[in-house]
Amino acid sequence: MSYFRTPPGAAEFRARRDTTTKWQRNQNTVAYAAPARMGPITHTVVVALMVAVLGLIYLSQVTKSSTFGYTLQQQNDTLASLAAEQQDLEIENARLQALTTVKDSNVARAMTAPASTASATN
Amino acid sequence: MFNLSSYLQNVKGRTVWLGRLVALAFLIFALRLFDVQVLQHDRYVALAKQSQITKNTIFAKRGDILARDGANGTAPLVLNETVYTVFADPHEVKDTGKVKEVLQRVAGGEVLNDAFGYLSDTSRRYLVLARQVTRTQAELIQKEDLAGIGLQKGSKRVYPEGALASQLLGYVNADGEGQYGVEGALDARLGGTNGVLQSVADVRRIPLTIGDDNTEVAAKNGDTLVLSVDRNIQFQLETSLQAHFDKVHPTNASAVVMDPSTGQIVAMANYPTYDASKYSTVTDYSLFQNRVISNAYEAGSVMKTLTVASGLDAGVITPTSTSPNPTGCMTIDGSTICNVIRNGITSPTTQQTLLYSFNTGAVSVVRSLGGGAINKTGRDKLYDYFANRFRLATTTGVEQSGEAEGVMYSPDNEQGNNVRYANMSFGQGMTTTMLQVAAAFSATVNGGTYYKPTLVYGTKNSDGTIQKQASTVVAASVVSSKTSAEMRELVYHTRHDNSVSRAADPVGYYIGGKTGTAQTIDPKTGQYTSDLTIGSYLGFVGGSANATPNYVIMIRMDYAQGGTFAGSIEANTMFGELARWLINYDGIAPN
Repeated sequence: MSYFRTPPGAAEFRARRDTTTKWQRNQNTVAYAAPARMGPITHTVVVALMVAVLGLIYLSQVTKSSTFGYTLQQQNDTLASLAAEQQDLEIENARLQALTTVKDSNVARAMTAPASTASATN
Repeated sequence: MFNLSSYLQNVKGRTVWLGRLVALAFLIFALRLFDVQVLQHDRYVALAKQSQITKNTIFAKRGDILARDGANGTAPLVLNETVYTVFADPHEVKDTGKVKEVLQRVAGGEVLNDAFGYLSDTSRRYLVLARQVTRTQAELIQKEDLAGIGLQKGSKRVYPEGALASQLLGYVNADGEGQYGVEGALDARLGGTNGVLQSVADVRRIPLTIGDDNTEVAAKNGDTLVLSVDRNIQFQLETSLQAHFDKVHPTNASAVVMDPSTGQIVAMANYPTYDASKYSTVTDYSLFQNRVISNAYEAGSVMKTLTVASGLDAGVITPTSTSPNPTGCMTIDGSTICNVIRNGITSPTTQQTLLYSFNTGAVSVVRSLGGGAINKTGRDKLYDYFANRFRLATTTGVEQSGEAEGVMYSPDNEQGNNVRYANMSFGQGMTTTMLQVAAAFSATVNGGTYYKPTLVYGTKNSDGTIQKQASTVVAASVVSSKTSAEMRELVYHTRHDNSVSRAADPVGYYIGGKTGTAQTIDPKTGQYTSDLTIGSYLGFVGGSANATPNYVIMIRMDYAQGGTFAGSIEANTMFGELARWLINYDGIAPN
């Protein structure tokens, strides 16, 4: 690939059509060349910048991915805490419904023995 | 004189050397890099992973243990509670005074003795200050943000029903291992399998979701077991056992209630007992034993039911056949066996043998099995029934650790002689556990099926449903259904025709039972004595003569005070009370 720069002030144009043949339809007759072209250094810098940008994108993705680890950890901690709380409540519930608790409750203590337990027999 | 040309020549020469040195240095670097990055690649990758990758154990949750609560409900007997161990790194502790103040204020009861004495010893890096700290206490300690103080999460077993069924349940020691009872026998099933979490972690060891080395093997939690034990029956049995224990003060009292239709144990208790939540304070280790399954003993006259069942099933006796014995004593190979009750009956029927517990009547069954004499044939037949059919002196495989086998001598053994087998017919000269006897008796009254005794009703799934465990039939016809029906009637009359036993039995129900008073060997004389006896009662509770009884109950009192028969009389009384309670509790309809 070759590069060249148009001299300043020289509005160079080149015919894009094949001048060796006759005019034809749908064919641009003139193409203006850009006033400036990328040289080898510019090209290298651009490539380096592109690599750097891609690197940044990669790093940001990796960092973003790693932050999921912290979020996950926090969610797990919350889950464990809630599970432990549920466990404590289940234990408390079971203790309150235990037979010894029921037997020693104020309600049970206030109960009186029935006067007669006789049942009908044949 | 300054010579520019020479100077430039020298500079050029030094530059060349400097360039060579730099090139050499780079060459060394390059070689070293080649060595590190290529030749030792694997080693350094491994080292890097070692520091970056953290491997955590995901602890499996130990399964809860539930009891049945009535016909359809369940109630927890054993649950897990999250607890914390508070530890210190004395090297990092800044304010020992504040540490002491906070721990005493928040978790004073859990602080270990002399824990603070080593807090100023900075040569230590790990010092446990308190154990079994609850979650609430741990959160309060954490809020104080004490430097050098850490919390380690753990788990402990809690027992909402207190000491209920402690010997049956067993406990879990500090290493997380099940000991005794169900915890010991089903340790692997309850414990589950730990999982592993391997991941790249940051400096705080928090797992990150990057890298290809993350692996997670999920933990498999232990089964949540639903026992066949009904907590209400268990509670009633324990309450009753303690009450009767206090009346005659035996050294030990034990009882078991079974469902003869399935082999499921609905209650099993011993007294004295212990509190599983305070197992570490127990000094008498025998309290850990569930004597219903761990203590093999000479069961005494309750065994006559099995002897009679053997004779009936073998077709050598009938319920009305007689065994003439004018003297009330019988001599076998020089050894004399006498009846305890001498009531003038000289030719008792099979029914009377059970009713009056005639030892000679039981010996006569062995004689009948031998064709008229106690001999090898009779011994072989009795052994076949006792060992092979009723599975006496054989572990049942019930879900309890430490089950005893018992001892029964084969007729081929020198010890298995005629005198031994004569004694065995009324429950002496051989040892069995209570559960073996109750399971065998269940087979004789349920139509002849021997079910494996079990404590497991099923497993509770995560969705709350219960996956029931099917009953295991060990042998389908240990006795015929005819024999079984005859046995129910014989045992019913053994109780019903005894004015003491039947006195409090509700009308219209089918309740049968047999006492047992086993002599034991006096350690002072080495001889059997009637002063040290084990009294027991074995029977069934049902509503109809034509159906399998609802429950089989066996009660035992060791060395009760108040005379030779105090234990069996008390066991008999307790049986009657329990039978009435079960009828009301279960709503068993009379026939």
